[in-house]
Amino acid sequence: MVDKLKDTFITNWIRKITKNTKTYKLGKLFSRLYFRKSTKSFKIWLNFLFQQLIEAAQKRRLVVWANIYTPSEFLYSLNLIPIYPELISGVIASLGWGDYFIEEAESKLYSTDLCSFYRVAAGLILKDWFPSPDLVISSSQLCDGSTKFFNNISKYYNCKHYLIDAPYYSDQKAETYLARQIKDMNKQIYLDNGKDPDQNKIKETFHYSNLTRDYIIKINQLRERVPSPLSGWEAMAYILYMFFSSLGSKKGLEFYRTLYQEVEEKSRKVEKNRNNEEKRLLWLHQIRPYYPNEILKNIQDHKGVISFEEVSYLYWSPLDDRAPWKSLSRKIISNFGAGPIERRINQIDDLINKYKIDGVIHFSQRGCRQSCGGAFIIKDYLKKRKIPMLILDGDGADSRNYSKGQTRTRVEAFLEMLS
Amino acid sequence: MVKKWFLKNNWLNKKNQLSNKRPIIGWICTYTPKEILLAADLLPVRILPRIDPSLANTYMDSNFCPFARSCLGELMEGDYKELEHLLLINSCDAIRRFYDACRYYHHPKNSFICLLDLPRKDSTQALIYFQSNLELLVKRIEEFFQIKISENLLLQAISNSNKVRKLLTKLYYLYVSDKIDLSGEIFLQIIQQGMILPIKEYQTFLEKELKDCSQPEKESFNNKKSKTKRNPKLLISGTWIDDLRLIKIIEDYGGKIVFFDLCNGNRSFQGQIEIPEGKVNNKESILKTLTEFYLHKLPCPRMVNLEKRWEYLNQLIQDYQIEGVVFYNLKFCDTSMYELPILRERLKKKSIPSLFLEGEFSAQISGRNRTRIQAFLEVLEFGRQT
Repeated sequence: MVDKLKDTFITNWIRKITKNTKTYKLGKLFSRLYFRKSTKSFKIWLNFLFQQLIEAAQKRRLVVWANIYTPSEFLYSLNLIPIYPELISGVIASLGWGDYFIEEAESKLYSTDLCSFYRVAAGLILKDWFPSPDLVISSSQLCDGSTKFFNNISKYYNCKHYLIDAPYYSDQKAETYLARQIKDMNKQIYLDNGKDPDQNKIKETFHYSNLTRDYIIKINQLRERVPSPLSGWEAMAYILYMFFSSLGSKKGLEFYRTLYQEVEEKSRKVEKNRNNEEKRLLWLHQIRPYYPNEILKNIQDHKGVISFEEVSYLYWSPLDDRAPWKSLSRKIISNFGAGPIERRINQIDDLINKYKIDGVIHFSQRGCRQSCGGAFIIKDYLKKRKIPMLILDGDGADSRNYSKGQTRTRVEAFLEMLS
Repeated sequence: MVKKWFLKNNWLNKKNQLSNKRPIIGWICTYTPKEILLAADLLPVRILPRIDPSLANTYMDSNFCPFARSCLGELMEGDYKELEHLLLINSCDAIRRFYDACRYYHHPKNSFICLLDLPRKDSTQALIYFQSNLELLVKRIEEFFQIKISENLLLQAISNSNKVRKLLTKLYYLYVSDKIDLSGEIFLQIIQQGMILPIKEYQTFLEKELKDCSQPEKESFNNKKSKTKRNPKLLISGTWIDDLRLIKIIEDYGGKIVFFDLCNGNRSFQGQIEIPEGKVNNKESILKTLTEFYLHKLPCPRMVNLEKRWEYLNQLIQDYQIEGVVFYNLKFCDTSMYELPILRERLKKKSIPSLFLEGEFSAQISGRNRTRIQAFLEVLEFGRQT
């Protein structure tokens, strides 16, 4: 009885502090001190993350929870405060708290077979330990799980779910269907918000997005150099957070400009010391494990380096503010993971050539159907190209699915085979 | 009589005879507009996977939908090896990848393998988009098979399809009201056979069986009202039920399933395709009718319309005084698994007990599932007594 009361008290107390602006302001201050020796780009990310959380708790503007496939430019053009639950789950997992929320979600019937990032987010929602959303937007081009989970979020918070129903094909009629949805959504959100659509905001957002895009291209070009100036492992951490959530914002532009300068500087330095890199790897899938693990160490011990990761591939054309909805539609349907597998294979082909890849690791996130479902086809295709590929089963957020010994054996065997 | 006839008829044994040299086209989703295939004089045959999914492990990850893997196994090494043409629907991640695997690994010469894009909502824009997809599908079929799909052929196909839907609905009402001696397992087998037989033959069979139903002396017409009247009424909800013996087990333990909210259950024949009378029906308007029918039909978990699903499940619970709900999902099926926590929570609030079972195309119904079914029905029985 006493224990139960204690638990309820603690739960309610955490609920209060996680919805309080001051908590995130304190976090921002503390992180600045703790990470004072980190790179400038990392500090910009921290600042961006805490600012998002502060604004989400303040609720001076509408807070939207969106999935990572929803173009952030659309959200910034609507003057919303975007929160990406998948990215928050990644941060929680990297802090080592993922399993706690996963267990909470599982106790409320979320199956262990579902994507662990959504299970972390579900646990967070069920505990009610996060500032709540005013609306939910998701885009369906990549996976079913995302569409269904975001629909669930809208039920938990009793708010509207706007689904961008992305077509499978990328022809003219598909583009029109998508553009009409985005246009109507834009109108409806402004209407619900009691405001008139702001054309200038679209212009500004697209302008920032296109400038950021240029820096991403430049960074990706620098990464073609041998040895690699930026590890894919790092790129799939805080950089990935910015890749999905900051495009179209001034902070995003500042981040990528800084990152470019850092990568350029590093590429000049490593140029002089190029003897350590023997095996250049391409990492397939949008994510990597975020909880403490030894995969990177296993790779580095065998002189391997993740030269590039498919998620950082820049697949869309510059956005055009004269035809904003069509432009956003094109960005959505040109995603290499959407549509037939050939699109992903073509992209992988391109990356192998550009980044002088020796071997490919497909991280088979347990619970991810869209990526893992095509892994064998990619492997068979690469076999014809004589590029070895390792299908590495694992989990991005659920550390219970990480087997240290088994993973090490597989990674080591693969890298030994490469040499 | 019904049982023997249906259980023994494997489509492959009679393939050539049944198809009458018409091209056979495979399909696997209830959103497949079969009327277009019938109008094109093709024989639509649903892949009814039975094969062990591990046979497809060379082509697909083992942590992947067993239905898709079993279907692929059937195409690669199973009964459907000779199936040349396929019309798939953009149903879910699993079927999208199945489509990729079909094109990559299973590529018979001169085959028609097509994936029809299906919206996830039923908005006006979604209807326009889906209609344009159907128009394109008609064109592609006409070009590939060198045929012409006329308005009359489409109307005829819709009419035949409606007749079958009507007959199955009639059979369902007889089953649910216990007016015939038909088990749930056999009822689902009858539905499944309709997915693989030529429509005319199937229609004749249903007509004959239903006609027999009006003659009480026939074996299949035994009135067994008293036998099942008191059995707990159940609703089974999910996607595809891989092993129909599960239904038998539920019945053996005393449950009566009154609605099969499954791809191989009521969702496959519910409703009528209403062609507006007195109007000039050109191809466009007929396809519009088909579009509306398919996008407005009882939504499956794949569609993003949880409220509509909940509304009709709730209505069924009230209409049939359902006492318990069995959720049956195939392993790794995201579309239904994400709905589960919300639907079960809502049922709990209504004091309707629910049971979740998972299928993975195993050779036997697991002892665990048997025990859980038994315990669930005991709880329902206990609830009634108290």
